[in-house]
Amino acid sequence: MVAEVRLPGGTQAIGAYDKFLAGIPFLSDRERCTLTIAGDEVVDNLVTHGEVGQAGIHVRIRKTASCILFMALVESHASFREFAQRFKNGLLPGPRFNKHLGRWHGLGLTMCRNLCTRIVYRAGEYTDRVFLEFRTDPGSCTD
Amino acid sequence: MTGISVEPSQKGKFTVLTVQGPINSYTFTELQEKAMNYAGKSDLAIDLSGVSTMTSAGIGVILAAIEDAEAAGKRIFIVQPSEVARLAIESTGFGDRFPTVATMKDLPA
Repeated sequence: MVAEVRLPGGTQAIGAYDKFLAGIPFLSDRERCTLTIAGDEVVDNLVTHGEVGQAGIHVRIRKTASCILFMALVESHASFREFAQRFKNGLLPGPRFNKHLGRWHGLGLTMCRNLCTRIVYRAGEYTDRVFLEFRTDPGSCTD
Repeated sequence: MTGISVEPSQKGKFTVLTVQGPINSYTFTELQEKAMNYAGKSDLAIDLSGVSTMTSAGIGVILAAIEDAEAAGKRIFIVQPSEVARLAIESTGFGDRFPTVATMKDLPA
């Protein structure tokens, strides 16, 4: 079972993703909640920290009996490459509070790590990709 | 994108902030302004029953409010979080940092 969407860049991206998720018939309520939290975080970061090109963000969700795969593709960007490298090398710090900005950093990645069974950030020459893997709710897959 | 609404009201000694809609990078400042206005100054309850989505931006605001309240010796509670808000809090790995009650009636006097 597969669902795909192309999201616009900018402030409309998260709303468009949430609307897309709401229309996917093969997700259980818990799977939808999990994909909402983790997917919002990925889309939010792609929009906020990178530059989403004219092609927008291509999101693909595939569900099997054992797992759900979330994939986001976006035009490649230097900041993504740097982040992916730091992630791969285990150099990203845990959650921390920035008193000057009054904001927490690193919380989103921690949330994704706790929700997913696997996270992969893959920087490419033309396209960057984020893969998230989740467990399928027992009994929710009829394929 | 559907916007967020954060409405303050009073219930006993508690100021109640009722949050409706999505909490993300584009909407969290509305919650931040109101939470910072009350956290640490009065007992605060944040009703998350109407929250449709919640990213780390919202979690961060609530954590900061909890810290402000604790530092000032004031009480703070999360009330009736929606399923997505509850899962977002749980996914931080330190859900026990978020004092939560199931309904508004469960707030202490």
